[in-house]
Amino acid sequence: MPVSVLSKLVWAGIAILGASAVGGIAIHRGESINAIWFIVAAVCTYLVAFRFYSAWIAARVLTLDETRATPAERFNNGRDFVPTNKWVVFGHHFAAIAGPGPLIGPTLAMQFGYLPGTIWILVGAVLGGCVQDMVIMFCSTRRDGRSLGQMARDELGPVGGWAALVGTMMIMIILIAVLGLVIVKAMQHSPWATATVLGTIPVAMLIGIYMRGIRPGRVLEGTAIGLILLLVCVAGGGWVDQNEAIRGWFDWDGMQCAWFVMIYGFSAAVLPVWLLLAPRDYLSTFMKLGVVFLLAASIIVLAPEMKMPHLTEFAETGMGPIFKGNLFPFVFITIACGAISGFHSLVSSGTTPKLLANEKEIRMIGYGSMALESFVAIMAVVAACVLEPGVFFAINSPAGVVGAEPAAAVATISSWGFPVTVEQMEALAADMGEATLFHRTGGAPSLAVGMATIFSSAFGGTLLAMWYHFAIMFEVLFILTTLDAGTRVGRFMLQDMAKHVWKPMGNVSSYPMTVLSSLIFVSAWGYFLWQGVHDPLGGVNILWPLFGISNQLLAGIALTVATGIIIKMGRLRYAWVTGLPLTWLAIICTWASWEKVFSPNPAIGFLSGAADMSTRLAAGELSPALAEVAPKLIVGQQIDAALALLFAVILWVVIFDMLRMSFRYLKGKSVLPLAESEYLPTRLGGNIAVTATHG
Amino acid sequence: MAERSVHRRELPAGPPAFRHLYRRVRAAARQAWHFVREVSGDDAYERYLQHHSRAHPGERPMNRKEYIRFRDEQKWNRISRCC
Repeated sequence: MPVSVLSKLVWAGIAILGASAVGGIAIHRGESINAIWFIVAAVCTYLVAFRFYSAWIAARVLTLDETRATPAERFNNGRDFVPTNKWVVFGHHFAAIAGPGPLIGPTLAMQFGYLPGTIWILVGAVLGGCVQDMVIMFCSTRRDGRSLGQMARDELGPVGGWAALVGTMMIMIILIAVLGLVIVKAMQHSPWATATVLGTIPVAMLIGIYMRGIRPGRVLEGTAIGLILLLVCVAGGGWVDQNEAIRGWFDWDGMQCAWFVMIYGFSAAVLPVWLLLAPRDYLSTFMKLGVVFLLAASIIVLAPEMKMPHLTEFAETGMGPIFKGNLFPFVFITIACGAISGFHSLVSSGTTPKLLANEKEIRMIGYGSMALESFVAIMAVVAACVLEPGVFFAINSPAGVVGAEPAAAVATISSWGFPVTVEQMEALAADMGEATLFHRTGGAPSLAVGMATIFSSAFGGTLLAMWYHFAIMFEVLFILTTLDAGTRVGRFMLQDMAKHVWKPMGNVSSYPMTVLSSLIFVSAWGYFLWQGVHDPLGGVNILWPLFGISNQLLAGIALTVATGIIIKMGRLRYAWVTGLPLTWLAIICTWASWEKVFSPNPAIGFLSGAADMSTRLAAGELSPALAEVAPKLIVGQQIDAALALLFAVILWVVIFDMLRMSFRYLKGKSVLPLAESEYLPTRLGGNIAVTATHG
Repeated sequence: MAERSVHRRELPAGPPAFRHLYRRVRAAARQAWHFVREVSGDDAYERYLQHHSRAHPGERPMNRKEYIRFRDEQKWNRISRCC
C-alpha cells in the first residue's frame, strides 16, 4: 500500500497548498501581491476538483460506462464520427471552446478589484462551467451525438427545443456584435493595428490557396509559412505607422472600422471556406495555443506583482467607468467565459461526442478542457492587474465618463485614488507605438499593454511596441475566427428557421439565398455594433452585459436540460450537481436583466437611459454629432431592453417546463421517455493510440 | 509498424544505457510528431484513406483535393468555434 499512502500525501499537499494560496489571496491587504499566488491557487483548485469532484460525478451521477460503445464507434464513417485518441480530442475540444471571451471578460471585470473576479472564475469553473460541459457531453454521447437543441426537444418537449433555438440565435448575434466592437476599439485611430489586421487577410488567403491548390491539405506546412508572414505583418504595420505618406490611409474612425468588420464578416460567410475561413482558423488556433503557453511561462518566470487593489469602491457604488452596476450581479455577468459559458454546450453536444472513443474520456475532455480555459481567464486577470490601476482605468474608461481631454481624464481617475499622469500615459503610448492610450475601451488594448509588459520583461525588456501590436494582432485574429465562423453558422441557422416561412430561403446551395441570408444576419449584428460604436458611454456598457446575460441564458438552458435528464435517469438526489449552478445562474440572469431594463440609473437601465437621452435631446444638451444619431440610439436602447427581458423570460419558461416534467415523472405520470440510445458493448480494446499514417 | 522501424534503424555507438535512452527519445519524438500531425489535421487525408480501404474495399476513394474540400465544408457548417 505504499503507493496509495504516497498518493494520499501528495493530494493532501496539493489541497493544503491550494487552500493556503486561495486563503492568502482572499485575506491579503497590502500594496501588492505576487501573481504566482494566483497561478498556484488556480492550478491546485483545478487539480483537486478534477481528481475528486469530476471523478465523483463520473462514477455516481453519470455512471460513465467504459464498456459501452460510443457513437463514434457505432457510426464510424471516417468523416464526422471517428473514434479518436483522447489527447487529440482534447486538443480539438479545447481549441473549439477557448475563444477571446476568457481574455476580455476578466479584463473588464477588474474594475471591481482582483478578488471578486478571481473567486468567481475559480468557483464558477469547478462547480459550474466544467460540470456543464462534462454533463452535456455525456448526455449527447448517450444520444448519438445530438445537439443541445435536439436534446432539449427530445427530453423537455417543443417549448424547450424552441427556447434553445432562439437562445442560440440571439447569443450569436450579440456575441458577434460585441466582439466586433472590441476589434473596432482596438483598431480605431491606430494605423499600426489597422495595417497589421488588414495584412492578415491576404496572408490567410495566400495560405488558403497554398493548402488547396499547391499542397492540398498540408496543414503544418501552410500554417508554418502563415505564422512567419503574420510576424512580417506586425513589423510591416510598424513601417506603415512610421511612414507619414501612407499612415493616413490606415487612420480610421470608429464607423470605418465597423464597416470593415461587417464587410469582412459578410465576405467570410459567402466566400468558399477554403479561401479565408479555414486557413485563418489554422493560423489563429496555433497562435492562440502558442501565446497562451508563452504567457503562462512568462508569468511563472517573471512572477510579476499585482498592483490592482483587491476590491475597489465601484463594487459597492456601481459607478465603475468601464461598465455600470454593482458587484452583484454584474461580476457574474461580465465574466461568463472562463467561469461558465453556455456557448460551450453547443460544442460539447453535437461536435466533440462524435469523436470520443470511450465514455470514460468525457471526464478529462469535458471537465478538463474547461478547467484549462478557466486558467486562461486567470492569466487575463494577471495581465490586467500587473498594470498600475491608474493606467488600467485610463486605457479602459470611455471619454463620456472621465472626460475627453487627457488632463480631465487623469484628474478624474486620480480622484478615485488611482494616481496617473498625462506624462505617464504619453510615455506609455510612445513605448507601445500608439498615438494615445486614453479611452481605448473594449479590453483588448489594456490586455495587449499587460501582455506586452509581461512578454517584453520576460524577453529582456525590449521591443515593447512590437509586442503590443503582436498582442493586438493575436487578439483580433481569433476574434475574427469567432466572428466569421459565427456569421457563417448563423446564416445556416437563419436559413433553417426561415424555410418555415418562405421555403426557397432554406436552400443552402442557392447562391442568391446565401447572399440574402448572410446580409440579413450581418445586418442583425451590425445593428448592435453600430449602436455600440455610437454609444456615448463607449458601447461596452451596453453590449457586454447583454452578451453576458445571453451566454448565461444558454448555460441556464443547458443546465436545465441536464438536470431534467438526471432526474429522469432516476437520480433525483444528485440533481443538485447541475441544479445548484442552474439556480445561481437563474438568480444572476434575472437580477441582471431586471437591472438592465428597469434600473432608474440611466447608465444602467436601458429604459431610463432611453428616457434620459430623449430629455437631453429635447433640452438641446447633446453635442450636434450625438444629437444627430440620438433618435436611433433611443430606439436602440428600447430594443436592448426588450431583448434583456426576453432572455429572462425564455430562461424561466424552460426552467418551469423542466420542473413540470420532473414533477410528472416523480409522481409516476407519463413524460417523454429518456431518449438514450440502447446499450451496445464496445469492441475497441482500450485506448486509441496516436499512430503513424503512411502516404 | 512504427516501433519496428524504430528498432531497425542504425543506432549510434556507445554504452547500452545511452543506446537505450536514444531509442526511447526517438520513439517519444516520433509519437509527438504523429500527435501534432493528427491534432492539426495534417494527416487527415491519409486517415481517411485508411478508413476507406477498411470500410469500403474496392470502391474509389475521394482524391486529396475532393476530400479536403469536403472536410472543410463539413467543419464550417456547424458550430466549431466558441466565444
